Amino acid sequence: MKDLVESGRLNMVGIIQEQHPDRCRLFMQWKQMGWPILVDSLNLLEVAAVPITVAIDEFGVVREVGLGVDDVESFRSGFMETEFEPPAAQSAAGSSAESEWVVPSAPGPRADAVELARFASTAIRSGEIDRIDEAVDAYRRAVQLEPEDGWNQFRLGVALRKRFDSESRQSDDFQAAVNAWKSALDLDPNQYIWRRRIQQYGPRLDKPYPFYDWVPTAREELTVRGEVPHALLVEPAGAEFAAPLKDFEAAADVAEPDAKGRIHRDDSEFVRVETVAVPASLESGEAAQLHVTFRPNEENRAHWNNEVEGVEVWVQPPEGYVLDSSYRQLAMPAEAVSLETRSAEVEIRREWAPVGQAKVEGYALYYVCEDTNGTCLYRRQDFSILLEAR
Amino acid sequence: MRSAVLVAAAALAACGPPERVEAPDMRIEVGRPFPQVLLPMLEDGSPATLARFRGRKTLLHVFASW
Repeated sequence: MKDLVESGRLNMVGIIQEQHPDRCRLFMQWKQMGWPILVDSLNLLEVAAVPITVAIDEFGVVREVGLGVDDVESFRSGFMETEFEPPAAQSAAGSSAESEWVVPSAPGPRADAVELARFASTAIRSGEIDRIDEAVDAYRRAVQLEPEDGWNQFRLGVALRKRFDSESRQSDDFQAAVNAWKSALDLDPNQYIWRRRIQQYGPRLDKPYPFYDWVPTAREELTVRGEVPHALLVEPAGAEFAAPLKDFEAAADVAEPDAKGRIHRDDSEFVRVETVAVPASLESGEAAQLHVTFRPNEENRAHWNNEVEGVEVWVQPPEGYVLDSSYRQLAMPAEAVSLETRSAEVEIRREWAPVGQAKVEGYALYYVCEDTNGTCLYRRQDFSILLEAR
Repeated sequence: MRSAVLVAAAALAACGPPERVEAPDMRIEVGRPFPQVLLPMLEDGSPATLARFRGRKTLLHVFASW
């Protein structure tokens, strides 16, 4: 195929279905693939699965659709050698010409679900992060108007997660995204893209899926090649790696680091903690992935102090639940101070817990400095995550 | 206040019912033009459709890095 591209006879183009498109940038760098790539995080193409390969003639008409192109010779002698007739009328199927990239004003109160979704998707695609609140609001309204439309539920989840990954985040955005994706999947359980979107953040599956196992290998090989790997906005974690399932340990086997609660609390909120459960409701025997995210507070210029040890996280399972491990210590970089977001992923399984709400309680212990050369403190911050046993 | 409300109601009625906006057809089917949905380029976020690749045959891969 390379010869067809280099000779100018064939375009090779990609459209990616990813929540975090910068990961594809790293992938393309690693694989040395220089194709043009378009980003379809919202799945506006409404594909039900990936990968899909589409052969398109020079007039923009689809000539073949298949899962992979195994028979290269057939492709060369068939599609490549066929002289296609131009269509009777060269009209564009689908939405829009490139001039429609300008984001319009937010729809008025009488807007229907289609108009609301169109506005929201334009705002998201344009990358104007200062419109993200309007986009989330528009998708929410679209969902209220047409609650049986799984597409708006899915795209609301995408928008919420995008906001969570931005400086405009609201603390419950990630949980709300997961809830929206779950609602979408309940409406169409056969939608593979929607299912994988939840699974990449959820507990490890019985057959763990290697979503991003390639990332460490890619970074090593790029470094060996003398290249600087593209940075990722959000690091893959937890179920995004197909690590072997750990046995669930009894919480009593690990020493609790601050059982008596003697460490001073972080009342000044030098570190902000956000929690999400994926999924948030469990049947008996089901597992969830708890995400606990720690961000140094920019408002008071807090920094991690890395001169002692990493963040320690302790989680106590409620009655009737077990954890993969109650205790974990998070990695920290080599430099003495840093600002990165850190996260802990905890797997929890409902065993015999009765139907109803349960609160998973935990805390983190960490070294944090008020400013680059400010006072450094050792603090504890408590958190809790609600689970529903159904 | 009441006269202002009446004027506003009359103005709204004169606009008529809102036009129904149709969702675009996104079917990828043999024999149909590929949907010209505007998407951001990974490289720089600029808007593009597959129409920019017309004039030459295209092999399109819809995929994910996972």
